[in-house]
Amino acid sequence: MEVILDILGKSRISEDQALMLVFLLLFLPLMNFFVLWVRSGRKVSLRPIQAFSSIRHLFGRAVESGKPLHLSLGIRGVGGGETATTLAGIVVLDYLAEKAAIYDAPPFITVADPTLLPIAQDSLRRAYARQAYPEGYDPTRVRFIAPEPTAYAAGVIGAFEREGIEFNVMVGAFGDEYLLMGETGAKKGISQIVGTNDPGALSFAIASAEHVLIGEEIFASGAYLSSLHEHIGSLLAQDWMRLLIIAFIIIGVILKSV
Amino acid sequence: MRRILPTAVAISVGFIVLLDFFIENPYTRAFRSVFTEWAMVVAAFALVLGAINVLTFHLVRIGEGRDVVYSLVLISVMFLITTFGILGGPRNFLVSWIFNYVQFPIQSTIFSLLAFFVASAAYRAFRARTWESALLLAVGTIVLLGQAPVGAFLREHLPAIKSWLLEVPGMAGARGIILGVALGTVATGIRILLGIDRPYGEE
Repeated sequence: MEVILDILGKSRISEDQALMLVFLLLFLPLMNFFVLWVRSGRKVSLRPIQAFSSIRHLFGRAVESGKPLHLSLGIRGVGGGETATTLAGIVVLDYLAEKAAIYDAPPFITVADPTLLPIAQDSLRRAYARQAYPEGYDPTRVRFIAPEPTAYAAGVIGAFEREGIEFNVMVGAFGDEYLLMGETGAKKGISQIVGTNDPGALSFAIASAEHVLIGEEIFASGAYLSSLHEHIGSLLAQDWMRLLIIAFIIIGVILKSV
Repeated sequence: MRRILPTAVAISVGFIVLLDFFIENPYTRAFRSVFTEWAMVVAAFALVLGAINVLTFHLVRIGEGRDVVYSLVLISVMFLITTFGILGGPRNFLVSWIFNYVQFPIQSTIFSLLAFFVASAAYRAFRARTWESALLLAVGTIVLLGQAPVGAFLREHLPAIKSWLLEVPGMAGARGIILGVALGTVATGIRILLGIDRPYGEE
């Protein structure tokens, strides 16, 4: 260990940088291998996650009932520390937009960060363009409410009332303010599916939503909803990296204890 | 070209910023600073788009005769604050006064409602219909009693049990979630960096 630290000291690379580099050098080839593996036509069975099948089911019910489905992309946007979490919500939006363009039943999308407004509108626009029905695209289906979490929550609660929302999907970064929306939805009998990465908000989500995507499950949206080869490959790489980390933790504990 | 150009730009910018994390080089540092500044400028423009979106929505509502009063109040206040902010700057007396004595108290009021929402959500979650709910109820009760002074009065070991529940199984679960989220974040970053995911352009 001292030898490694000595080499790092001479090369002016910090421990954090070295760890990240090793992690990337392991992760990149592993992910490429699994992406190619999946692309070659290998069958991969993913463990069932109820929330993803419920998103499909919820959309079907929304189309049949003619009631709008609300999609919240969280209280953060792209460019900050929660970019990846927000992009996980965008993957869900891409899936719903694709279906919406086929059935002409666009979801009602609310955003708290203005950087998401053009992204969400573009996702809807592209989906309608792919279905050769560009005139069906309605940019007003995406609404910017407010960048302040409590103001955003108040706006979403108002939208539940005004827009007659009966189905609610929330995937992205949320904090404590989630409960204001989630609990209102639960009391109104709205069918809710929530996915977030914050352990605090997750406890609220479990108490108020029918199905919850816990932590890393939100990053599996592309693999489960759209069966994208690249996402399935990346999911497999994540699983192997997790096993590697668990092995390192156990070895570390043993070495420290002996 | 509409597909290749945005992807090439995104990959190049991503690699330069990532490279700056690993090496100390004045050129990569300068590029990173410029890109970060551009990102801030783009975000500021996005706020203008957001304001236009809000304005359009409320003007349409006024046109349709739905909740006219609320929409009128929102548009008036929006113009008032924007005008005073532009004329007198963000530290302008009126702007500061509205933030300190109107917006912050309203936000605090909304947030204070959270306690009642927690009670209502806890009531639903703690109904012991399944063994998971029963376990949640038991753990919740122990933590609640252990947190309050009455817990130590009832059973002297309750605060210690509460601490163990929070620090061992609770912390282990939270760390597991955080570890998984970190892996997912890295995977998402790599997919964008390699141009596999393109949330910014045509397929």
